[in-house]
Amino acid sequence: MTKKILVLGTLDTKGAEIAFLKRSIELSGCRATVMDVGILGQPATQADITREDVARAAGQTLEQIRALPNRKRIIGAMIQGAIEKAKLLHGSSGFDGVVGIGGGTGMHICTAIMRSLPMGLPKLMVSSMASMDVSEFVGAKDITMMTSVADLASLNTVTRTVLAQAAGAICGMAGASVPSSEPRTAIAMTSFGITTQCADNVGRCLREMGHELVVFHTVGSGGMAMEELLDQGLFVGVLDLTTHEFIDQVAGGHYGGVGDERLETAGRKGIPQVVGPGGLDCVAIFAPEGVPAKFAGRRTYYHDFRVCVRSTAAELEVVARILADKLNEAAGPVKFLVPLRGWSSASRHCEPLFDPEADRAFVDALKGSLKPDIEIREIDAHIDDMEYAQAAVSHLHQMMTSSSR
Amino acid sequence: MSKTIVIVATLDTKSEETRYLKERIEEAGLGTVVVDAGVLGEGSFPADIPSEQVAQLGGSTIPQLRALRDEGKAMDAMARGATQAVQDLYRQGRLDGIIGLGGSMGTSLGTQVMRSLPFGLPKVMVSTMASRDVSPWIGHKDIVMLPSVADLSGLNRMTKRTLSNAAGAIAGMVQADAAVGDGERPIIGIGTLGATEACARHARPLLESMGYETIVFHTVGSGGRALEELITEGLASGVLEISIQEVFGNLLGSPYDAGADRFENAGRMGIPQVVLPGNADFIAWSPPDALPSRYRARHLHMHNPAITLVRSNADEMRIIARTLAEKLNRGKGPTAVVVPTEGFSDYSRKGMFFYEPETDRVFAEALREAIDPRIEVIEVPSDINSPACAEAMVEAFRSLQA
Repeated sequence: MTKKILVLGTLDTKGAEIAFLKRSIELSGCRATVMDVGILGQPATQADITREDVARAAGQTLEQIRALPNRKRIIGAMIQGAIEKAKLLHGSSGFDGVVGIGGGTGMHICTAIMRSLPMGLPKLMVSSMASMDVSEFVGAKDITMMTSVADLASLNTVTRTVLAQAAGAICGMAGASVPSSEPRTAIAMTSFGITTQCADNVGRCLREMGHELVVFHTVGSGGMAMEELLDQGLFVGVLDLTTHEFIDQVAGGHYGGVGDERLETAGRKGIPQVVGPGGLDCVAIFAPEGVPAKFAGRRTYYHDFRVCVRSTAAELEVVARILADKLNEAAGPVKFLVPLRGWSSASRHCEPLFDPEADRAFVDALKGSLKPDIEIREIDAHIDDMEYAQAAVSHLHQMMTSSSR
Repeated sequence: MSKTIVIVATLDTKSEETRYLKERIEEAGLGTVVVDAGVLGEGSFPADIPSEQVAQLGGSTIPQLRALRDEGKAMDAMARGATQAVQDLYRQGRLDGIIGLGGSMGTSLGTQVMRSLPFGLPKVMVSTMASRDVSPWIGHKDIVMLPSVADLSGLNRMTKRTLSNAAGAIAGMVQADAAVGDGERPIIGIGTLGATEACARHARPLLESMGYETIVFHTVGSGGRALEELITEGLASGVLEISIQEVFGNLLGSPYDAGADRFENAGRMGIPQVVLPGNADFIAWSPPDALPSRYRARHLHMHNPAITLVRSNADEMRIIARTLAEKLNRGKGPTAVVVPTEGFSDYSRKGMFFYEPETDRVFAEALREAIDPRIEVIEVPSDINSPACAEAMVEAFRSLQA
């Protein structure tokens, strides 16, 4: 069956480029539907979904949107309308992939639309701004970024190559199939560099039980991507064993403040979860020029371009209360599993971040703040040990089987 | 003839995932060559170019690299070796596209290899690090970053979908009919930003009617670098620099930095160039929390949630004019500067929030003091985006040809 591609862009400034992209998509054997998300100026070619349609979907006329007092609100209104149209189209006749082209503002608009579409649907953004910090644009979503190298302001040797390849990429992605295998239930887990062994161990245990494990790297977008997929109902259980983002949030490390909903979705949806203190023993710092003065005197562990700085008892007590506040709200079953011999490869006995007293302060604070019906289990093992992974898996399994009854 | 995709991977940690990707690419009717850059152990299937061979091409051996006990250094050697292997494949005509997969180490290695390949050759990096600052990996090359939302550790419904999409993307890219330019008309490189885009838009048809092909670059750092590269590779017959925002980037540390030699290569190559002070009326900062505190009390404008603009003051105008003059003075090619007196961007036109003609006047004064008399400075009584300014710019360019 012919695959359908939704094409996003501003037809006033990028009319010729969008027309070329559309032609290239059709040459690749797919069908293109163009949505014009431009606001000012006159569209240079005809859209399938016009800017007037987009404005109407935002509950306004194009003139009303143009008359809004500032650029931010004008763009915001167009994004709102475009998301509405894209979701409507995806829910009705559907499409198999979405591609957008634009400069800075175009990328801002197109990626906002893409972020509203489900994970797994191919999404490609072609932009002259795609080779810098794209975190605001990609967010926790699977948006592929293609840099246009030259500005998408005229058709020439460079831009034609880029647009033809973009057409090839999105059509190739839309046509890609995932060979089906036996359906298995999926479990989500968090991990990062210095808790990788734990993820390997858990994977081994779960495979034996017939579950599939999906691991999220909690270094920025990973934790929030997991939250979003939990919300989409993809997982039947969660092993949130690496909650490292929270110590970075409290102590000023690199991966803090990823999003308010972190550690809340499983509880809200009633999905069984086992939570652990993986990585809470270290504050992750990007320190090309040495560790900042505020961490002077603390023990450190050099990872690569990143340095892990030991967290203090006081910081961990704050983290314990944040975690407890979130977990206390959970509608589903929760257990907290503490490995007593260290929470990352950097804090094994003899490793620089080994500090059982600070770890103890965390456990005490957690005991004081968690609701009594949330069990805290202390395991006499290191987080990398098979024993800890086995305990985590078996507690999760127990909660899943008793809650499904 | 069937095309070949080179897969750069570390089979010690990612062999299951690499094998899956390889199978999906082959299903799409393409050949594959797997280059193994892992040092820690054997993969679950043999690579076409095994890690031992890659290590040797990098001037080392696997036992030596393991003995280093330093993953970073070992990866450096493997990246050198893999780059060499890929260059050999490219010369032998066994490389139509390249794809890599990995976490932070794998991404750093894969993109280093890809950056050694020419523009237009499809490059896809599947990475768990693709949703952040990707500039160290992409540089100014055309590398497509495909994020793996889940960790690439083990095959599951998420990673399978990601790897299948990636296989589709690279297969589609190499099969795309890159109806690449006519290759006949001489090329004019144009640098601009959104706020001076109308100037480029007015100029393009004029230049095209003179028989040129125009290529426009967005002067956000990487765009300026790409334009300089077009120039140093000898592909540009002339340059219209409408935006000098990147001078601020290099001088003040704001994000749109294109390096210290920006605006110097055209002069070095001796090709004609016309320069305008476009976007010198502001200093762009992003994201908003990156705005240094010394600017907080200045006249600010929030361009969009990601970008904050600071109105430049007389001191900054003087600095940017002098720096630009020094750069242009060093050149040996025909050069002219066109200064629109009614606004250096859309934002400093009359009635707009950055309208400050007395500040902008400082630019022309400082420029005239510092610039070599052989470089003509032409003032145009309009704003930069008016058709009159674009016409004056193209006219200046035409007279440089003579």
